[in-house]
Amino acid sequence: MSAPAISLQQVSKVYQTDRVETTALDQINLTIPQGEFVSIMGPSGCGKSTLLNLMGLLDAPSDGDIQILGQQVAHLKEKQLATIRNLKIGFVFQSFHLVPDLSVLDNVEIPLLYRSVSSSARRQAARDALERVGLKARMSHYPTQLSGGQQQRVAIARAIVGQPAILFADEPTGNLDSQMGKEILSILNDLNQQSGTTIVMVTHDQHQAEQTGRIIRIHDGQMIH
Amino acid sequence: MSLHTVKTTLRVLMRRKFFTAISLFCIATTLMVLIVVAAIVDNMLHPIGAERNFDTVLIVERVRMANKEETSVWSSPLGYKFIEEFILTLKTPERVGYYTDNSRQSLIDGLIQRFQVKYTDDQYAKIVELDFIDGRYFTLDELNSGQRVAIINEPTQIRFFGDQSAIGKTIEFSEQRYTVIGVVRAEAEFNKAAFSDIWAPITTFPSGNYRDEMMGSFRALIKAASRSDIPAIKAEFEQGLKSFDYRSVSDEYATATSFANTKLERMAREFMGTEDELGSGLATFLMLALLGVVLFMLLPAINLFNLSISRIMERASEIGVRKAFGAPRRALVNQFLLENIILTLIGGLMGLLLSLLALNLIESSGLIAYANFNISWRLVVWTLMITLLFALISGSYPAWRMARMHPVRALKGY
Ligand SMILES: Nc1ncnc2c1ncn2[C@@H]1O[C@H](COP(=O)(O)OP(=O)(O)OP(=O)(O)O)[C@@H](O)[C@H]1O
Ligand SMILES: [Mg+2]
Repeated sequence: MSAPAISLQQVSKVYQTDRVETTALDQINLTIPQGEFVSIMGPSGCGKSTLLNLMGLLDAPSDGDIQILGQQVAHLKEKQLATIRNLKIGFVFQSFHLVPDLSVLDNVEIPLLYRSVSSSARRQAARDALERVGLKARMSHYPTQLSGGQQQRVAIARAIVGQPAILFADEPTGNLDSQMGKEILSILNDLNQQSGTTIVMVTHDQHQAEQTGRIIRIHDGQMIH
Repeated sequence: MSLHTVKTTLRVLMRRKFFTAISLFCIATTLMVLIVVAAIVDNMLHPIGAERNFDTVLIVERVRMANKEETSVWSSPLGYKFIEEFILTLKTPERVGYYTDNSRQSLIDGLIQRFQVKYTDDQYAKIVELDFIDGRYFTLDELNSGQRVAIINEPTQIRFFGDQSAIGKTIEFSEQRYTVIGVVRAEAEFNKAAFSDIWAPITTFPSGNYRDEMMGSFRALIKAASRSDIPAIKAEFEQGLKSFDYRSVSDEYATATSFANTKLERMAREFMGTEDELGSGLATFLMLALLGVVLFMLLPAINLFNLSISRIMERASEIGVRKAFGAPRRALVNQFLLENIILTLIGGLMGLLLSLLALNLIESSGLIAYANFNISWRLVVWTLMITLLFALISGSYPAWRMARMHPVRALKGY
């Protein structure tokens, strides 16, 4: 049996500011097998984004162990973490975060810039990824020339261009109307079904969450069972 | 990777027009001033014309004479007697020559016009390699017999004769008629040894009194066979000055101080006011020049630095995204540095073009007589290096800051 995509043991995150100490996550234990589509739900400020950032190796836990695809990450250096993110992980953000100075195609190529891939292979992979989200026709546009839904599809193309094992999506439909939201969700579903990509998605939409394999509920930094 | 960066950079520059315009203006004007100054200095130190082989030439321009008590001190260009005693007797050089600069008037079409006249010896033309368009220099025979022959430069030919040939025709100055035997290309004013309108044999100098003077209006040129001979020549010259009995010339003199300088040393002495001092102050001069350049570049560098820093926030999201997708710090540092280098190089190129324009303007303004600036490869390479240095200085810290941003914060935009 292959290692789980993600495994958290006793993971806590405490934010230390000038006066207050915020416990954003409190001793989370969680295992997500490869190929699962999981949604995370919970009220605002309960720690969903924090959890996603820890699993995505964008931030380090205050306590506890994290394993990604069977690998302990606690002692890894910044550079090694960057390599894991580059090879194994993709991100989709609520506010798209496309680089405004780059064309759609150049945006999608970004993850491959940090791998040793020839520029023609990079182009081809980016075109394929755009094809998958149905935006091949817009590849020489700039982000500002696209609708919100189109921008998020570009962001998904960027997240999957490197064929990551795991995709993290923090409220990917939060800035979109429900029709657009549906489209995005169906793209994610296809990705999970066809490529077996593990997907962890934060959402406030109960209806969307129900379409995923499992719902994890968080309240005040703790998982509710 | 780098093609992507170049493309990104150009897009960023096109999009942020205000930022780009200010940065480029700042870089281009700074470099323009630097290049213009450097080009003038470069042309003074390494001229392309008649003084092109002066890297093996020493120039003796001044002598300081004093009595024993140092109560009477004189400082002036050389007298002919001085040259006879201390220059013409030198054994180490390949050859020595001399000239004296004088301003003369001539009547052309009823108008009084001024000319620079150099009275020289025959060796002068073997050290200063005048570029003859027509005719020749005077011979040793012509010098010895005091023939009134003259070499003139091209602008002087035009002033006297328009577009007609000057060879064989006569010109008149100091109430004497000279036959023109040669026409040469004009030399810029700052090439002091080569610059003149008219050259004539020293033996045709209006009065013969100059022969007995220790101080006068002469300058001597000492040509070394190779650069490695220069220290020996200096030592021999110094030894000659030391061992001379000055009372044989006049009771008033006890000591004479004089230096044989390279072009660079002469420039340092002029700038530092150390013409008569033992040390030329060359090291200090070079330090001051370097300091001047650094200080001059500091302000625009700080300016650019600030602009870059203020743009970090604007680009926080881009940094966050790149980090999230696995960009190592080094790649980001490289990206932002390369961006800065591209921007600076464009600015540098504009600066180079602007400086060409400015140098042309200086040439045509007549501010420096007969100036004809040459932008040497050496200068272009130096400019390139200074531009890169500028880019690195102004870009390193901002790039480092950007690359160190925490990905989560960067994505949140602070
Ligand atoms: N950088 C930080 N410094 C201090 N406290 C923080 C920081 N980031 C998050 N927090 C705190 O941690 C808690 C969890 O925040 P988080 O962003 O994970 O919430 P969330 O569940 O994603 O909320 P939302 O649904 O509104 O996005 C909040 O109380 C928040 O104030
Ligand atoms: Mg959140």
